[in-house]
Amino acid sequence: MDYLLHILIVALINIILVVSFNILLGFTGVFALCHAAFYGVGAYTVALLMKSGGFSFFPAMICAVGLTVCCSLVIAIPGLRVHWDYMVIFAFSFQMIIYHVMMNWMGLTRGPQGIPGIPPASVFGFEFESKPSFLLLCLVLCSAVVFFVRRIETSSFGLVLKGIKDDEVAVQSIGKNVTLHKIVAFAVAAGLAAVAGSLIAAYISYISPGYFDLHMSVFVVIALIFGGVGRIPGAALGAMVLTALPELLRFIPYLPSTILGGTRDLIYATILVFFMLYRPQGLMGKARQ
Amino acid sequence: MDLILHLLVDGICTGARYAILGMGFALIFNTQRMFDLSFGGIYTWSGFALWILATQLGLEIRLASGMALVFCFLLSYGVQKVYMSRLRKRSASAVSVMLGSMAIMMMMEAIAAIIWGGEIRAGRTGDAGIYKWGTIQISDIKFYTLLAAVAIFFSVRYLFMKTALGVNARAIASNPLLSRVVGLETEKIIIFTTCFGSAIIGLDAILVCADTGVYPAIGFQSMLIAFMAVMLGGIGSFAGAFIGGLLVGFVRTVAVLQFPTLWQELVLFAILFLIIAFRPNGLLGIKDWKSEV
Repeated sequence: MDYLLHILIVALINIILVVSFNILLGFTGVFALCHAAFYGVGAYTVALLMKSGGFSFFPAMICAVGLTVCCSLVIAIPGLRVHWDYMVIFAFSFQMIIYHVMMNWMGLTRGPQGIPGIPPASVFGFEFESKPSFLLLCLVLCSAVVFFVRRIETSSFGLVLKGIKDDEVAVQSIGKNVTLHKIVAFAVAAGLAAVAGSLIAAYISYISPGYFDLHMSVFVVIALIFGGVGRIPGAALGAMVLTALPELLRFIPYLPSTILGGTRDLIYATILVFFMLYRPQGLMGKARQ
Repeated sequence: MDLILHLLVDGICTGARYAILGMGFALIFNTQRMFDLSFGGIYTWSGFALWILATQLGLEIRLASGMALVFCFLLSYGVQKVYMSRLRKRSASAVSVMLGSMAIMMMMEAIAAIIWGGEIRAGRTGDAGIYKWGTIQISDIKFYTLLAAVAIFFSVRYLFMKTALGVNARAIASNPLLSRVVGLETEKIIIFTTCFGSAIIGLDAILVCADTGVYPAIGFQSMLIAFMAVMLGGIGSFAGAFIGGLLVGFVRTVAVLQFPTLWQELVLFAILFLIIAFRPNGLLGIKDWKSEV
């Protein structure tokens, strides 16, 4: 039962991540493999503020979101002005830079040893220490994020984003500032990823750079493509299924633990290989005309 | 002084390695103008092919290297024919080509990790030969790497500038639709240049396997380096990829003088970051190519 709750909590956190990434790849058509970097910046900020700064959960989370948005602007402002090919590499290198900073800035992040002993989240004196209570917190924040992204999708801002995905020049021709819209979308997605990061830091109470490497960024992309690009329910479905799937591997007898990681990667890669070829819009996505 | 000289030589040798990677990727990228990353998986497998042929089957190392190179070409032809070609036909979107090829790379690396585990496997047992000039000394593999880099540079340039195939490939790069209209078999040419590029990259894998050894995730590492070399030197330029690779290797080695080893990688990425931010066409890149939206 405890194990099931654990998977549910992780799945909810991943839903926040994938739904926020959907704003980029799904709505705007911006491809940036650096979502785990924002996730990591959020998690580390919350961890350090709560452990050393004595902040409680929500103020720390707000600071994390602020810092992550600033980080995202550092790459969005130069990166989104140039062609998307450059943006791919740009986001890639940002992901690597953040990872290396986490690994090597011993004074702040303690490098590969990670930060242990992050205090549990508490709101007005109530501590979300037990798993069911934390699940509740995740559920509330996850629904808030999904609701927020849904509002973006139906707003005029969201319509412009979708227009950018289909035909950038056309959107430009009706007087919309394409670059500004992209930058705002990027910042919003990064901020929401920081929310997921805050949750994971408060939940597992120990973070290390390994959680926020390129594999995580790739996981987010695969989950979105599996569920359906551009569709919020699809993104949520993809996050849930792909979180639960590797856990099933643990129940296969005679599978040595040394090849567990390889098998998980193989499953993800196979899913992506077949989806790109036969159903690039994902399970719930709409085919493009 | 001796240390600096040693680092300089080492920097040039590492740079030559990266220049090979950069040129291979440039050959792939300059023709199809899409991120076909399947070469990362082919890199891993070519390295492991040499390891199996040379140490497990006990073949002579030169013969084994040749066979590994052929295997690498065939493997990349297979990947192109079975998967990438279909993917390109189905959806011309650059994002899906990138993601699909990335998935192929992940798949090949994961299979290698499952079969052979994560340890480093070296293709050569026994001592390395050493060449000496005064105080400078380099191992024979590093010397071959230098030779190979220069040879590849000139032969690829010749191939692209002088032969009919090269002219066709450049035509496809500058306008794929028009090339099809005038009757070029674009897909065939793309497959051939991609296999050729992958073979160049596979050659680097073979040299690395003989020198220090390979492990499953090395394909991904080399992909990053190839990216950097091409971006630094400039998209669309072979000389750029060559110089970019040299620079990346040089910076990486010489950075040890100024920065702690741990920050070496960060220095590289920071340079790449600044290059894209302030000079997105790279050092020698073609000016008008898609630098603005």
